[in-house]
Amino acid sequence: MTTLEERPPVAGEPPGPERRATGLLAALTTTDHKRIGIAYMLTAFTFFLVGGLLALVIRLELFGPGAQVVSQGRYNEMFTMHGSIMLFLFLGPFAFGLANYLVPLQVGAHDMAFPRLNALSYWFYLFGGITMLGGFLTADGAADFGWTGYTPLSSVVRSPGLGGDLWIMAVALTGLSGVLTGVNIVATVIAMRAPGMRMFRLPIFTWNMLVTSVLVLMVFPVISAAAVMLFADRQFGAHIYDAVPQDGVVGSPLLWQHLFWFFGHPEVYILVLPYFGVITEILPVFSRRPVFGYAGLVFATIAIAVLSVGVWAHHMFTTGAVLLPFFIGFSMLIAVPTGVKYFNWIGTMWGGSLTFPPPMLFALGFLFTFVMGGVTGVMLASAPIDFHVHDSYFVVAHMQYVLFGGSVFALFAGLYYWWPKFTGRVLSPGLGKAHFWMMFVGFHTTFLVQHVLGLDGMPRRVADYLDSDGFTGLNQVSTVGSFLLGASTLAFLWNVVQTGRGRLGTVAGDDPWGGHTLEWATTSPPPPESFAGPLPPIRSQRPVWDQRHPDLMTTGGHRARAGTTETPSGDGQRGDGEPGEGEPGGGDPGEPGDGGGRP
Amino acid sequence: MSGAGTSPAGTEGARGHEAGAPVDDRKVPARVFLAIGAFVTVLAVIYWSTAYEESGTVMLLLTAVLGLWIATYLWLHTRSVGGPVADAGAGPGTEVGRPGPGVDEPVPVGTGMTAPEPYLPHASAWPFAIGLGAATIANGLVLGLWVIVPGVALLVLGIGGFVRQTRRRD
Repeated sequence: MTTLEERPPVAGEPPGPERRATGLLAALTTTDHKRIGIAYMLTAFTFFLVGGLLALVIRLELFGPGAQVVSQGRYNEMFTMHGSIMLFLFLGPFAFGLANYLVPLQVGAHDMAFPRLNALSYWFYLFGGITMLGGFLTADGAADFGWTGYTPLSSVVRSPGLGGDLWIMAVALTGLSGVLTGVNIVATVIAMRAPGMRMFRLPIFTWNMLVTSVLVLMVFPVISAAAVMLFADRQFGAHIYDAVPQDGVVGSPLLWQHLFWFFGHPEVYILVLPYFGVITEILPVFSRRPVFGYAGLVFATIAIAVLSVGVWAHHMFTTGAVLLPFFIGFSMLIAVPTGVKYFNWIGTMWGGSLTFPPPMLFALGFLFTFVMGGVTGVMLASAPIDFHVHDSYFVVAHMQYVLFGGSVFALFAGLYYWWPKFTGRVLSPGLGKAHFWMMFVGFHTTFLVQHVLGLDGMPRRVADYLDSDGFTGLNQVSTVGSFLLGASTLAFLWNVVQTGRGRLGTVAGDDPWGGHTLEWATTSPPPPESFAGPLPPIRSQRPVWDQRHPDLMTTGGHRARAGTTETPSGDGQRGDGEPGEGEPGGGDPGEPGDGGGRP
Repeated sequence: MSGAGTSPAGTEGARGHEAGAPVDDRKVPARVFLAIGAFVTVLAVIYWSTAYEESGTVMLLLTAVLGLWIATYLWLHTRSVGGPVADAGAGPGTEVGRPGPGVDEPVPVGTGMTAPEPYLPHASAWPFAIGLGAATIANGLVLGLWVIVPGVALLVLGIGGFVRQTRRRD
C-alpha cells in the first residue's frame, strides 16, 4: 500500500475526492483522525460554552429569593439542558476527541482502525447535539424533566412538549455515536500498535481510553434502548414505564431508573477515566520521572470499570426498592482502586524534579479537587447519609466536584499540554496561570458552599427559595464564584486567540515539554500521515524519552534493572525510581523546554 | 489478570519489564476482556441470588456476555493467526503487536524502527450523508412524518455510497 499521492491512477477506480481537499468540503469529507479529533473538541467546547451560559443563568436566578431572570418553567429547561449538554455533549465527546487525536499517535499508527466509521460517529454526535438544542426553538421549549429524565415525569402526560422528544432522539443518536467510537478505539488499540508497542508499554491515556471504550460498549446501548422505549411510551402508546394501568396493561416507572442508572453510573467513569489518563500523562513529564506503578494504574482502571457496573442503584436508595448492602458495598469498594491511582500519582511526583507550567498546575488542581468529590462520594455511598441529603445541594456539590474537579480541570490540563502538538504553538503560560487561579478560586467559591446549603436542606432543581430559609447568603457567595469561574474561560479564550495570532505564546518544537510518548516524536502539528519519518525504537513505556536520552535508557516501567547499582554519578545507570530513590532534581539533564532542541 | 504464571514470551529471557513477570503480549487483550466478563458474571450471580431483581440481572448478564464474547473472539483469533487482529495500518509483513526487542538487548539508538507504510483512506462524503439522514429521520419522528422521507432517501444513498466505497478498496 502506498500513500495517496504515490498511487497511480487505476483504471476503473473513480478518482474520488482528494484527501487533502480544502475548505468546507474537506471538513465535511475528512477521514483523518486528527481533523475529526479537532472537530470533536471544537464542537464539544462550543457545547461547553452553551452549557456554561445556562449555568450562569441558573446561578443568577438563585442569587436571591424571588424570580430574577427566568420563569420557573424556563428554569427547569435551564438545569435540564445544562446537565444534558455537559454530560452527553461535552465531557464524553471531548474525551473522544482527545482519543481520536492521540490514541493513533500514541500507539504509533497512521489513523484509527476504521476512519470512515470515525467520521460517521462524529456526524451522529454533531447532529444529535443540534437535535437536543433544537428543543429551545420549539413552542414549549427544551426538555425540562432533569437530565435524568425520570418517569413518570418524562411521560407525555406530564411533559407534553416536543423538547422532550427531541431530547430522547438526541440521547439515542449520541449513544449510537459513542458505541461506534468505542468500537473504533478498541480495534485501534488492539490491532494498530506499532512493532514493539506491547500492551504493557501503552501510554496510560491509551489504556484508559481502551477501558473507557469497553465501558461505553457496555452501557451506551442500554441508554439508547431506554430512550427509544421512552419514545415508544410517549408517541406510540406503549406502557413500558407507565405506572397507571391503561387498557389492562401496566409498566414500571422504576424500570427507567434501573436502565438509566445502569448507564448513568458507568457514564460517570466514562467521563472521568479518560481524564485520569490525561493526568497520568502529565504528572510524569513535569516530574521528570517515569510513571510510578504502571501496572497498578492499569489494573486500577480495569477494576474501576468492572466495579462501576455493579453500583448503579446507589442513585436509587430512597426508592426503597433496591438492595442496600449490595450497592453500599460495591460503591465503597470503588474507592480502593481510585485510592491506588492517587497513591501512584503521588508516588510519581515523589522525589521528582517538579516544574509548574499550566498543564501541571491544572493537574494539581485536579488532584486537590477530585479527592474532595471522591470523599463526598464515599459519604453518599452510605445509605444512612444518602437518605438525608438525597436530591439536596450536597449531591449537586459532590457531582460538580467529581465532574468539574475531576474532568474539567484535567481537560484543561490536557489542552495546555497538547495544544503545542495540535497547533504548533505553546499557549501563553502567564495567561494560563491566570486562567488556572481564576478557575480554581471560582470553582471552590461556587461549589464548596453548596455542601453546606445541601446539609441545611436546600433541595436541588428549585428555582426559588424563601428569605426565611436562610439560604440567601451562601447562594450569593456561590453566584459570585460562578461568575469568576465563567470569566476564567474568557482568559482561556483570550489566550487561544492571542496565541493563534502569534502575539502570545511561543513556537513549539516537536517536543516542547520533554514528553515520553510517541505523539512527541512527530512534528507539531503532525503531517496527515501522522508520522513522516521512522518511529523511535519502542523498548519501554517512554520511547521518545529513551531516544532523546540514550544514557538514561528506561529499562521499562519503574523497576530497577537487575544487577545494576546506583553509581555515584547517579544518572548513568539510575535505578529508575523505586519510591524514595527518585532522581535528585538537579541531576536530571532534561529540564522542560530544552527537550525539543535535542536531536 | 496479572501476567504471572503465563507462558513466557520468551523473546528476551530476561526479567520482565513491566509487572515483574514476562507477559505474552498477544494474550493480553483477550485476558482483559476475560477478566471483565468473569467478574461481571460473578456480580450477576451475587446480584440475582441476593436482590431477586430482574432488570439488573439481565443487564449484568448481557454485560458479562459482551466481555466473554470479545474475549473468545480474541482468543480464537490469537490461536489461528498467532497475533492480534489483522491490521490495516501496518504494511505487509509487519506483525502488529509483536513483542519488541528485549530490555537487555542493546538498543540501536538513532536507527529507529521503520514505520509501517501508511494507508490513508479516501476522503468520504458518505458518513456525513448517513449522519444527516439518520438525524433527519430522528427529527422526523418528532416533528412530522413527512420529514422522514428525505431522511430515508439520504440514509439509503449514504449507506449505498459507503458500501460501494468500501468495496472499491482492494
